[in-house]
Amino acid sequence: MYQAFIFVLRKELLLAFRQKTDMVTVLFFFIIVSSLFPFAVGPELSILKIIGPGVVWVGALLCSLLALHRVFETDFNDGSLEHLVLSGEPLTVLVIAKVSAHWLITGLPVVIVAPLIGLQFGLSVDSLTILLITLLVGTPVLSLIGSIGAALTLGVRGGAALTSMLILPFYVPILIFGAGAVVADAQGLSIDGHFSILVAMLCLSVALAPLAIASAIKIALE
Amino acid sequence: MLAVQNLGFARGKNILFEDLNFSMNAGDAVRVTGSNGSGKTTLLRIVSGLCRPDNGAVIWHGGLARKSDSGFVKSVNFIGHDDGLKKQLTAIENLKLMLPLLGAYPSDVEIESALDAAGLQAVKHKPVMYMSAGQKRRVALTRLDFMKHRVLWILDEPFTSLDVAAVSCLVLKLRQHIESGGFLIFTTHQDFDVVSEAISLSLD
Repeated sequence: MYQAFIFVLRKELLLAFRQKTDMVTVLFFFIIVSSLFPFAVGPELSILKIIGPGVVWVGALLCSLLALHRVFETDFNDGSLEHLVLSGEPLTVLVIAKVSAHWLITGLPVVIVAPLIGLQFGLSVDSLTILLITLLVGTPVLSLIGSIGAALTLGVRGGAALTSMLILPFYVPILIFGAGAVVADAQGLSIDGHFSILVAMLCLSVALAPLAIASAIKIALE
Repeated sequence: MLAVQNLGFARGKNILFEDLNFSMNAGDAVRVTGSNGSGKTTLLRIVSGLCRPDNGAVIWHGGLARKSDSGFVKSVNFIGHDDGLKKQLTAIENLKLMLPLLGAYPSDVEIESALDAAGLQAVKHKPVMYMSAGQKRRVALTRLDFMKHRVLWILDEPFTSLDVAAVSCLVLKLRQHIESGGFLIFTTHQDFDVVSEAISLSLD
């Protein structure tokens, strides 16, 4: 089981390494979207400081959406998904491996670049640290919840648009508490509440999303 | 022993098959025949456990195949129309990362010699996307060399796009598998000699 996890992860990472454009596209999208705001809003630092955390979080969320359709779609089309189901290994474990790989490829780069983007908005070092931590906890939740949508729309025409509509409502709480933590800290409030809720959402989605994704995949293959 | 009992499946109002029964013992081959759209692929997918039938059941060694304690899933080796190869990876990488999931852990040397034997010396280090349809099929079928422990081979149109040499090579592999006590279920529209000994199951 553990070995199966490693092999799926290795395959996904090797594939991403062969096709770097996927990774780069998502990262550039994030950088472009969040860099355009200071130009559009104007150089007023007080305004930028207020909108900064929100903009970075929205950018990260859009990136997650942009990359979602790739989690299972190619595997569905080329038959690899059937192999995963028929391997006899627990599908939930294989699904966790796939989603982990997806996060490492599309989520982690965004998290790493985010503090640099935050600098453009004049965020303080404290705010940048909190932004980094909330993204580190929040983006895996985005990947997990998003993958449920991606799995549910497998084989459906226009699946990408449908996925976005399905999962956007579930993304909103993560956005509120993620960006909210940075704002709260800047105002001198405690962020314990925000952070606890983010971690709770992470625990919940790690525990439940793989089950939902595995069931959705089995239905899609029927 | 594998038995299929009272299997029924319909797509909407189109009934593909009803009350389908057959059974096979170790060393048997079953050839599923039928015109295009008669439900051959669907039947193979149901037997392999990918789809659920509307009625009936698949029995493996006396127990329901879909029960997790039947050991059925780890006995199935299903190769469908889509070969599951990743086009960006080479033939070697594809097999090296696919086989462990199926419970086979061959070394690089073993994989390379299997690919050489399949006549893929020249292309085995190239990404699969640069291969012809027949070469891709050969790569996918190389998997069979490492699937002795998965005794129930379910092959959907295995001979498609293969040339004469590859066909006879595959026939040999299938023969060996049956003779060593394996199970084989396959579909094909062509006639080969493995095929003539097989129990025929018509869906028309």
